[in-house]
Amino acid sequence: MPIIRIGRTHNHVGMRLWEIIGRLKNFGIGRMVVRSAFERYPEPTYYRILSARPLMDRGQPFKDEDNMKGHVLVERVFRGVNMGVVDLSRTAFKMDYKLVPKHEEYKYIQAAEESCPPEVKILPETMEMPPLLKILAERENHEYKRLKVSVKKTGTYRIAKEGETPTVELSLGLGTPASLQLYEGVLENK
Amino acid sequence: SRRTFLSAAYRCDEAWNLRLQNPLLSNLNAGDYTFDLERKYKQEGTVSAIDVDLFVNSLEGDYARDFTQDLDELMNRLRRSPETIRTLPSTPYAALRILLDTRRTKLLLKFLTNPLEYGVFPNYHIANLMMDTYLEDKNYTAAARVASVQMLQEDFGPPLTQTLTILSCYAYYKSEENLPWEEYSMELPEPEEEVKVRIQFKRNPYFDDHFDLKDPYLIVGKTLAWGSPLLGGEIGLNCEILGWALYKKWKELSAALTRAIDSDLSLASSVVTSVKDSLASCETSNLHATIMSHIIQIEATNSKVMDMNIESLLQDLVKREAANAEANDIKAQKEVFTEWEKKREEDVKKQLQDYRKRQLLAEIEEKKQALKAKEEVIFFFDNKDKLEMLLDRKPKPKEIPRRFFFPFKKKQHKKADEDYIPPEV
Repeated sequence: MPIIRIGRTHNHVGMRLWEIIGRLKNFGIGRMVVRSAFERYPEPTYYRILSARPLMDRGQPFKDEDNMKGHVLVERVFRGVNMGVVDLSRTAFKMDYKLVPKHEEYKYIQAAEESCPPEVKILPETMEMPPLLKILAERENHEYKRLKVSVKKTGTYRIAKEGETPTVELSLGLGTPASLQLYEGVLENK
Repeated sequence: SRRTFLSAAYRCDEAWNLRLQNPLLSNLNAGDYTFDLERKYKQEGTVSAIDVDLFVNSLEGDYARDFTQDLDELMNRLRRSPETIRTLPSTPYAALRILLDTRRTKLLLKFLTNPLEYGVFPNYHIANLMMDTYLEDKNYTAAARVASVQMLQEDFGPPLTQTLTILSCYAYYKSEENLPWEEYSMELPEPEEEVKVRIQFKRNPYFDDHFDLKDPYLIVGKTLAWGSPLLGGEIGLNCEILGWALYKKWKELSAALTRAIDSDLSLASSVVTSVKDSLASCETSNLHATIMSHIIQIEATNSKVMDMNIESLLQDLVKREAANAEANDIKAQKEVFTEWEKKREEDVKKQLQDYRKRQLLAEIEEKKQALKAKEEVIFFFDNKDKLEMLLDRKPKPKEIPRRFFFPFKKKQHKKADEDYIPPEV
C-alpha cells in the first residue's frame, strides 16, 4: 500500500538545493540555480554556487526529510541587484530550487544587466486631512490645515523635495472600488 | 580481431598498476582492511575518505570479485557522510575501473546513476574507456547510460569524449534493445498496510526534465540533441535533429529543420524517417504542421536527403579523434596518476598525525586528572575549610518516578499459605 503523507502545503515548486548539488560533480560549484518563488518579480533573481559542504543527512524513513543540511555559499543576484556572497545554508532545505542549464545562463545574466530598479515614487509633502479632523482644524483655526506625509523606509517611495512635482497622488476616498454595486448611494453623495 | 576505437596503450595499464607497488597498497590485505574499517565505523561512526580510497585502489583483477559488496557499502557510507567533501579524485576512478575490468556492469551502472548515494563522477579518461569497452562488447544499453551521464553533468568533454558519447547514443538507438533502463532505487520497500506519515512540508509535483528523466529514448534523445552541435557539420546536424525528435521537443526540432533547410548540408533518409515516425506523438497541431511542411520542403529539394550510414561516419570520426588525442591523453593521465599517489600519501600522513594528536591530547588529559587527584590529597589540610563548605548540602529528595507515585497505599496482597486448608462449613 502506498504511504500517505500528510503535511503542510506550500507554493514552492522545485527540488531541495542539496538534491541538486548532490547530483552534480564537484558539488555544483560554478553552476547557476534559480528559485521559483522569485519568478513573480519582473527582474531576474539567480544564485551562483561558490562553495558547498553538504552534511548528507538522512531523516527518518518515508518522511522526505533527507538532504536538508549543509553549508553553502552563493553569489546572489536579487531582482537585478548583486547582493554579493550570501550564506544560503538555512534556506537550502526549501523545495524551491531549479538548476539552470549552462546554455540558458546567459538569459538571466543579460536580464540582470538590462534590468533597472523600479522607479522611486515621489509623494507630496502634505496631504488632505481626514474629514472630522479637517472640520475641527477649520473651526478651531489650527496652525496646520493639511497633514504632513512621512515615509519610514525610503526605498520605493520618498517625499518630494522643494521644487519637485510628486508622481503619486495621495487622496482620501474610495477611489474606484472593484464592486461598485456595494457603494450605491455612497459615491454619488460624495 | 578486437574492434576497439582506443588502442591498448590508452588504458595505461602499466602506469595504473604502479599504484600497487606503493607500500601503502602493497601491504594492504583487503579482507583484514574491511574488517578494520567496519570496526572503526562501529566505534567512531565515520569513514574517512582516505580509508575508502586505499581500499578501492588496492582492488585488482579477479581478486576484487569477493569485495564488490564491501565496495558498494563503503562508497555509500562515504558519500552519505560529511566526509564526502574530502573524497579523493582517485576513488571514483578506481571504483569505475575495477568494475569495468571485472565487467560488473550492474554495479557500475548503479554507481553512475545514483550520484546522491555514491557520488561517482567519471573523468574523461575513464568515460572514454567505459564507452569504448561497452561498444566493443555490444552492450549498447551500458554505453548509452554512460553517455547520458555526460549529458546530465552538461560536460561532454574534449572531442574524443564528445564523439564517443554521440556514437554510444546512436548505437543504442539503432540497436533493438528496447527494455526500460533498470532503476537502481535505493529507497526502502514500502510497508504492506496503508500507513499515514506526518511530514513537515508536502512536496508539490515537479518534473525537472533533466535528473528526473526515466525513459531511455528521451534521455538518449536529449544527449544527442545537446551533444551533437559540438561535433558540427553534417553528422552533427543529423544527430541533433534525431535527438530532438526522440526527445519530443517539437519547437527545437522545427528550429533545427529550418537550419538544415538554410544550410547546404544534406540529411540522412533514416533521420527523416525517424522524424516522421516520432511526429505521431506530437500533440500541438501547429508545430506538427510546421514540421511536416519543413520535411516536405526538405524532401522536395534536390539531393537534400541522402542515404547515409551515420553509424559508420560516426565510427570514422571517433577513430580520427582517437588518433589525434590518444598521445596527449595518455601522457596527461599518467601525470594525474602520480599526482593522485602523492595526494594519497599526504592524506595518510595527515590522518596519522590527526590520530597522534588526538592520542596526545587524551594522554595529557589523563595526566592532568592524575595530578589533580594527587593535589587534592596533598593540599587536603590546607583546603580543609573549603572542602567542608562543599560538604554541607541538604540531601537531594529521593526522586520518585511519576508512574509509581501512589497517593494511597497500595493494597498488600496477603501471601497465600500453601498449607492452609479452608475450613469446611
